[in-house]
Amino acid sequence: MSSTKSPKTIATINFKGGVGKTTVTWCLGDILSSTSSMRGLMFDLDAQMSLTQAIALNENTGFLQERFSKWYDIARQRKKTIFDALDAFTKPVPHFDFPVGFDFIYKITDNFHFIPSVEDLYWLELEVFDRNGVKDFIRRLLGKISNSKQLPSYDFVLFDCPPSFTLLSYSVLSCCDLVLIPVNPDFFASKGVALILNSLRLRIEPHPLPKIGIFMNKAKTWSNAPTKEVQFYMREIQRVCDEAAKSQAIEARFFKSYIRERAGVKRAITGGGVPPEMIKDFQNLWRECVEFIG
Amino acid sequence: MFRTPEEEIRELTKEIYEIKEMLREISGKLVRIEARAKRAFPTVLPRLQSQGNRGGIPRLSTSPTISSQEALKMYDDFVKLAKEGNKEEVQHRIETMGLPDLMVLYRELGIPLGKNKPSRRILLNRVFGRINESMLLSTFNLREKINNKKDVEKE
Repeated sequence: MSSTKSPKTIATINFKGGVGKTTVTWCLGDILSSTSSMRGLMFDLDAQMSLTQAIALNENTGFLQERFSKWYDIARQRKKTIFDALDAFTKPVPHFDFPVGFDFIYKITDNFHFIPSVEDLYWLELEVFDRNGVKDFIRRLLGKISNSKQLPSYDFVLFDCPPSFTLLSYSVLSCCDLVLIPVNPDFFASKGVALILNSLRLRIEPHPLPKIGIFMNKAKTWSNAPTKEVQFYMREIQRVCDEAAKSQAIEARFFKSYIRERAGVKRAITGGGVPPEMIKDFQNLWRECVEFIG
Repeated sequence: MFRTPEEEIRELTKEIYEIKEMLREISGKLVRIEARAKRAFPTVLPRLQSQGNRGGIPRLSTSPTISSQEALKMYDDFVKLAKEGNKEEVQHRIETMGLPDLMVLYRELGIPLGKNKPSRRILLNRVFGRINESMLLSTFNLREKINNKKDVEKE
């Protein structure tokens, strides 16, 4: 990367599935890279590959995106996937030998680039036992990307994390600027937030915990304001957040901005794009993330 | 002591209103007890029907005495009390709330009303449900924490 300014690194995580981690990650990246001059890189770290498959699928034709499919096949054949990078990192050799370029990073658009997931990540937990051996993987990989002359400078890096605490999540959480937690207006999603807030420190220690930003996703609205039910859960999560910040000594903030529930957003990745009326929601969310990161 | 007669009247009116609310509650409970007794002993208690009481919970056409903000503040107090182990007190306070106030609380907690008008019992249960949710959200039973707590207690 030519710029000396380091990118803002944000990991989207929630132990509860279905809260919208993947969609939010993609929408944020898409909007930032298409409505501003910023350039972004996005990682899919979930072995379920939802983000990778959504990008691969062309909803209009029902077939796989030819350009991505060809690129992905070659990346796997040449052992240039995230799993291969991790494999190289954990080898008992002095240097992390894994050259990075556009054979490892896919160009969705000129300003929005992507590192896809692979199914092999499913078995990662069985193959790698030393979590401290993996801890610095993402930090070192980002360093390689920053120092690569082939790659451009990135203003932001987004990580779509799995709905569980994996070795890769550990590696991301120990080096990112912000953990972004989407929550839905229901009890189980709120409980997921409470669980992360009250257990993350124990898992990350002795490494410093990143800042944690929580926001309401899929918020039902009435007359342009969240419904009373959504407001109830917003108050509850605010309370959980305040209590955890106090008892766990963590920097956690419940954001004022929220993402409204809209049917169209589910098809955003596979071809529909972000519904125009939702662009402002994501821009507001990004503004709060940046303010919080400082 | 009151500074002006108007202030005294205001206070007295407020007290009268509170007593009326309590009487309505008591009346409602008596009606329910009576209805149950009648169902249990239909042959012994038929005469009570002719005494003018038509049964059911009295209709409360009065407007609520609490605002939306007050209802939410009240809810926070309920959750705090319940967390401190005073669930019975919370239950008593909610059960003695007037229906209009209960409706304000119900609405502010965002509990869906559904198609049919919910009965008072359903309203109460759903408010208790919300309180239980709030309590569960701030309850953690992580093994490490329990172990740490035990270690501290041992020391």
